[in-house]
Amino acid sequence: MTPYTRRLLTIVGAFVVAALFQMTAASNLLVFGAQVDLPLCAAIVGSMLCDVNTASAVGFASGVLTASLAAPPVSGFGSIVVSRTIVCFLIGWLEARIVRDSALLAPLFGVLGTVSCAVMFFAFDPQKDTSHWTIVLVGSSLYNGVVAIPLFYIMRRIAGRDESTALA
Amino acid sequence: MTAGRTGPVLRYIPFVLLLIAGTLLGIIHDRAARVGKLDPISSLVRTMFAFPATAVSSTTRWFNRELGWIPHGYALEAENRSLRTRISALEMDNANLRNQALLGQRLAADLGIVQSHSPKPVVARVVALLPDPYFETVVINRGSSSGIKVHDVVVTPAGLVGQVYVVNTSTAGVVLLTDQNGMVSARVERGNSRAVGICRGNYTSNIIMNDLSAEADVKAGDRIVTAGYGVFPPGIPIGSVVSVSLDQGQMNKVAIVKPFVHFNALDEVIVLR
Repeated sequence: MTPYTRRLLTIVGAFVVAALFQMTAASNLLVFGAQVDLPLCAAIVGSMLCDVNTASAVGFASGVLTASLAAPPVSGFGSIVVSRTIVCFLIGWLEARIVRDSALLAPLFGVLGTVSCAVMFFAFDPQKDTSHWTIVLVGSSLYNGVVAIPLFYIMRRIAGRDESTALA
Repeated sequence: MTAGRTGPVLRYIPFVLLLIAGTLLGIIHDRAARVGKLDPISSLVRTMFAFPATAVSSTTRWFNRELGWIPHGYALEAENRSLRTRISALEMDNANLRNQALLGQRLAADLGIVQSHSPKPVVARVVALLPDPYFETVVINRGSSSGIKVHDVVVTPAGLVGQVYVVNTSTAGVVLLTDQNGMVSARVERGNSRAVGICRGNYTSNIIMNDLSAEADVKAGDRIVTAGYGVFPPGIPIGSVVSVSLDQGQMNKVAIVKPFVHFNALDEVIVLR
């Protein structure tokens, strides 16, 4: 198995587990009312482990998965998919050019990636209640930032380090 | 896993194609959603994940049922005693209500009142509970093959859960009462008060009841039920009033309602179709 295939399989596996966990247990693991968004977290961490185009595909897959399961009641399906594709593309781009496989950045990307996705979604598809939306966003992004740390170590351990780019 | 030696424009073509695909998927989804249907991609994803999610939640439930009592120990004994007392009281209430129902039927027959058609219930299991932090929605494992349609009302024995907003063959999406798009006409269920308002979700665990006139007779502790206007049948319990205040314009009252249903612990629901 090539390192690329191994990484891809790790990301796909992480997606399946994240989606099942999100569907069955995430709403019972609230911290101060905040809920984790595991498929997004898996996409952000997955994007840190692959090249820019694969990262876009990871974001796209995460968006389709979340939007299909949550299916916003009015509109917003495309906004979820596009915002996640762009964010994961940017993370993949940063990983390829600037930051290179650094575990320290997992929580930062977890927080900023979640915020960027939500802000882009809001720009594409403005919501009625901005104040509550902001509260949900703050809680969810911090939660994702914390969850990104162990998730990064687990996924990198299974996927193997990309020796060509690793610095950390 | 590097981009290779392709030119800067060609290098990002897959990304651009994915953006276009995402936009197209959104358009297809929104068109299908307008008529209460799911697009083929969402339908496939839901069908693929419905079975493993049901298996995971069934396994968790089995462990909770078989082993969950162990850490609670003595607390269960006390709970059993209190439940037995409550059952006795409820059995008496039930007998009274049956008598009242019979009396009501006789009176309705004497007055020639036509009884409304009572909905047929379908029991469904929740396979995806609040899958996105920003939307208060759930996915249930029954769809159009079980006769479920858009706008069907979803309840639990505790009270109103929400409304079906999208259906495919084997699953249905339910928008919860706590979602900002969830809305139901409601009234106060108290002897001399028939105050009517609109209950709306606002992302929190409580619901806002507004459009109550400044003179509306509503107070903390009042029980709120569906008013029966629109698709929701009358008399379905919604919640109890926590507090009442005047709105910003001082023209109407606003009540904060704590729902009877615990939305984070939904397991099985009943769809009234």
